[in-house]
Amino acid sequence: MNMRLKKALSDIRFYPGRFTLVMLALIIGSWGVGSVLVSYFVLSQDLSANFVNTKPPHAMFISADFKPADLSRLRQNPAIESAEFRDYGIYRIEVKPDEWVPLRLYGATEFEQQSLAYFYEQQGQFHPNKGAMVIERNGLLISDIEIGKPVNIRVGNRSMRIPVEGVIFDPAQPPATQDHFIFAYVDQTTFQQITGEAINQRLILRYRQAQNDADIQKQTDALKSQFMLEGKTIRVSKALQPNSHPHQWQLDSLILMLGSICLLASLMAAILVSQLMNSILAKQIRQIAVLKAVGAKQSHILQIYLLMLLLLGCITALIAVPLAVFSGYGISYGVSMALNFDVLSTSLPWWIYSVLIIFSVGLPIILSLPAIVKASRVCIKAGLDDYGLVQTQAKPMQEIPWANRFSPQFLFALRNTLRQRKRVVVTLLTMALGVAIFSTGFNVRQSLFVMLQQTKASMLYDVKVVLQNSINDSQLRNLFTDLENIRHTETWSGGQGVIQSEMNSAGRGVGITALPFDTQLQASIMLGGRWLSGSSDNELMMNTWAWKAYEKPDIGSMLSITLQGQAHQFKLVGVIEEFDTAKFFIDQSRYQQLANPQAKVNSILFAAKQNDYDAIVKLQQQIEQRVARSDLSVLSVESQAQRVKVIYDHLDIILVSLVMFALLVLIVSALGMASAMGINIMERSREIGVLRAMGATPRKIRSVFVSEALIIAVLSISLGLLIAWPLSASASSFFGNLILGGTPLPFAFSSNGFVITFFTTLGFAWIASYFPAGSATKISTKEALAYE
Amino acid sequence: MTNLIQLQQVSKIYESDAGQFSALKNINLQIGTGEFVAIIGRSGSGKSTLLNVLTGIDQPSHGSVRVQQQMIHQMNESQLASWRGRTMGIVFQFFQLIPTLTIAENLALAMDFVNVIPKAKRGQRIHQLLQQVGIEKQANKFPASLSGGEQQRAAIARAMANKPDVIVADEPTGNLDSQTAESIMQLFKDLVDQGKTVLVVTHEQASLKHFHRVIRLHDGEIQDAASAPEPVTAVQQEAC
Repeated sequence: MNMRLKKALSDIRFYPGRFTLVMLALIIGSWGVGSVLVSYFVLSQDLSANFVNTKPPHAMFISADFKPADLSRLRQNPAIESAEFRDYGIYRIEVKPDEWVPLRLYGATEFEQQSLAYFYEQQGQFHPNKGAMVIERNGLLISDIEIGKPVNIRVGNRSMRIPVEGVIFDPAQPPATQDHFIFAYVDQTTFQQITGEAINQRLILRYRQAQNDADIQKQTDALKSQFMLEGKTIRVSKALQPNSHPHQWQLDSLILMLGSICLLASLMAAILVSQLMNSILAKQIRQIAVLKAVGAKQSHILQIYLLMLLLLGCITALIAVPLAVFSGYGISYGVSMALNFDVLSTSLPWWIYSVLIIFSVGLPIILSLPAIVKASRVCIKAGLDDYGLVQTQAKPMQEIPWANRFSPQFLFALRNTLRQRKRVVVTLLTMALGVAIFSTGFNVRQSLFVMLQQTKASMLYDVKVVLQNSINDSQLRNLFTDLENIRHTETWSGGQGVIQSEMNSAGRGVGITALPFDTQLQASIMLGGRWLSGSSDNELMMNTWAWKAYEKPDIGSMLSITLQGQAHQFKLVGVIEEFDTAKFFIDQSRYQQLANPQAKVNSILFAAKQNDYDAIVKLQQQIEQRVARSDLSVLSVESQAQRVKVIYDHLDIILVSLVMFALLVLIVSALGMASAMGINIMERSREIGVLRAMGATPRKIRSVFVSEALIIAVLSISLGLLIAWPLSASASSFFGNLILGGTPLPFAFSSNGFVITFFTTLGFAWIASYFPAGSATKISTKEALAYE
Repeated sequence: MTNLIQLQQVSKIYESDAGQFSALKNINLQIGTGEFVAIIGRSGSGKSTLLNVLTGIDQPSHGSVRVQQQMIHQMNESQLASWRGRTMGIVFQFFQLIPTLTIAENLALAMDFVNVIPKAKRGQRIHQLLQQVGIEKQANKFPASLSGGEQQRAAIARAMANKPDVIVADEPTGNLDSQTAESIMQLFKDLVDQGKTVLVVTHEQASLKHFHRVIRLHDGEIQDAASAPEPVTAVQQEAC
């Protein structure tokens, strides 16, 4: 074997504990970065691929005037790639006893020979028989539905039992676990039979040439004009986004966040390697001088230590890369289950492996290179004259005024902490960074909880009923007049959630909520401007997503808004914070004057007199009973708590991952501390001998080292919490941008997080010092004194 | 006997906060091939500095150092490293073996740096050298498991690894008992008998009898450079 390689190997064997710790840190760092990189590659490619492979439609039109012949004609149009009638309606389905959620039912014309908006066979029957349906697989996760058994569904005032014959997979749909919808598919005859609606009314199509959203919009507008020229009344015309999955934002935020954290962990691990190399080089400086004296050139010395790092990096890569690939796929499968798509990538490109190897091998080398070059340049004479630790020029203890307040043992630990200042600074910063990231994880989590609390606080209703269509206000109210536990009732046009946006839209994907300006059931946080005043002017409020969709207009500016196909000028009076799709808020009476002359409403909201859990459950049951007896086409009966759960389920995947990966950084920094303590103890073996010769028991020696570690830990926690402050604010701002459309999340300090961070860090520091100190005290006094 | 080492007007001045300190003052010295030379003097007299200048470990402030007709004070670090590996074998007082390598590996590493001995012959040479210094059975042991004498023999074997013409030893017996020290000196004498030039900085009174010449340094100047054995007695009385 090459002797330089042998020397490098033997040095690694000579410091097994320290190299193992550092390697562990490197493995964790590289593993983390690798996992995120692999999962990013797989997820970003596969989520998009899953979605795009379904050939999602570019446009959707709804008209009662469509005929089958229109479809044949469209299919012959060279600008149209494919077209299909796929009728659609929202109803209700019983997922568990007395638990109903919206059912989004599609009446498909093509099962076996699909040409767009593909869905795939999974289990049981793919093409359901007449009178039966198949459901989207993600729905099974929120329901007790079983293949071969019938389920209860409600369409308007009619209840029926429909057999479920199979499970299909539609990757274009948002996951039922988050949105709490069930997607189901039937053939057209069954659709007509179940819904009582006419078929061939909803047309979906793909254009042959569609470069971008603007292009799609242009072609959709042109097609709509053509339909209107043909004398058709187009009720809905919608250009769709065929390149982006509905939950792409979750994936992006998750990956970006985890990637940043793991990158930091990897960087910290590389710093640890350079710290270890520094200490080894400091210890081996005489050895280097001797090697030079026996003929080694600077390049030989460089080779030895670079080989050492290369070996370390290679071992790290050998362990971390397969782990990263394995866990990267694991994360991908986990996220794919959460977002309801399939992992399609079975192999990774070479550049992924290259990046992983660069992280494992290259980063420690780059960070250690200055120390190696410096050591390799040492003159033989200077090297031979080196006797290790330099005495610090610190003040004698008696000159420090507060010195006599502490025990000599504590002062000894304190003085030792400051002995190797450069190393202490690196350890402290590494540990502080770990604490900061960990604490930031909790703070951001807390910010999200605060946002949830605020969202909850802004929804002052207890139960909400949403109808499929709009009816007279009195008709809706009369149904619930004699309910006992009702304090206040309001009826709205439009409301929260995706369905309401679809029912009542102002275009550009922005929904409309027309509510009384003096509503008692919504108290959103104003981010700018004021609440609706009820004046005769056209006033408008919007939530942050709508504000973003309209390119963040100034408060007071006039906007042209389309209501029921007619443009109106509205003055923007306020922007509110809301975790929801893009929404406008208009005073109900103005809305009625402009676009709803018959004063029809589609939702009723109740505030209960008694709103403890049991009372609300009872109220909801009473409302359900009334609904069941009525002839109303109800979409949902939802309590405020259920609505909050829907929001929470969207954020849960991010919240859990955030803390898990932040813990990873804290572990790396704890390993850094263990490594630094190990180095300290290694360098002070002779001192341990002296202490023992002076009569110090192993317990006392151990307590000195543990005290040193705890001093560093307390300093790190203090510094880490200070760093966490701006870091949390930035992270909250980042998440706010993703979740709330440009508004920072409210900054919140997590006291639970502080307690966990404090004790976890102290615990890690204790472990990092107790065990190395324990091994050091096992060396006999004679051996320790002889240690060079 | 040809002049292997020539020092002309060599001075070494160290600058420090306390001012200038002349470690060597106008040293003129010639050492011939096959000589066995002792350098003695009190602590701080400049013995180690002289050795460092001779081996290229330190550069003279003034004057020239010529070894085997090469002006070593004009070489750069890389040239010096190669030259030193080929020409000089250095033995340290505290042996300075690499603790993480076995004795045989310590020798092999020195050969690896200089690359004078062909790879195929290195194993055989290591065995031969260890046999020569009497520790062939310790070849695969780590330095820590050897006695002081054995470690110094290993260090001498390492110094001999690349067949240098000159062996330089700084207090090689300073850390050994008298019996072991005597055997080490005998080892150096054997090397001289094989034609090597050996320079030894020593404090050991008893060992001076082995040397051809004893150079006595005092405050950075050669005070006496006499042939052994007669002047040794005088030197012994004054210097050690």
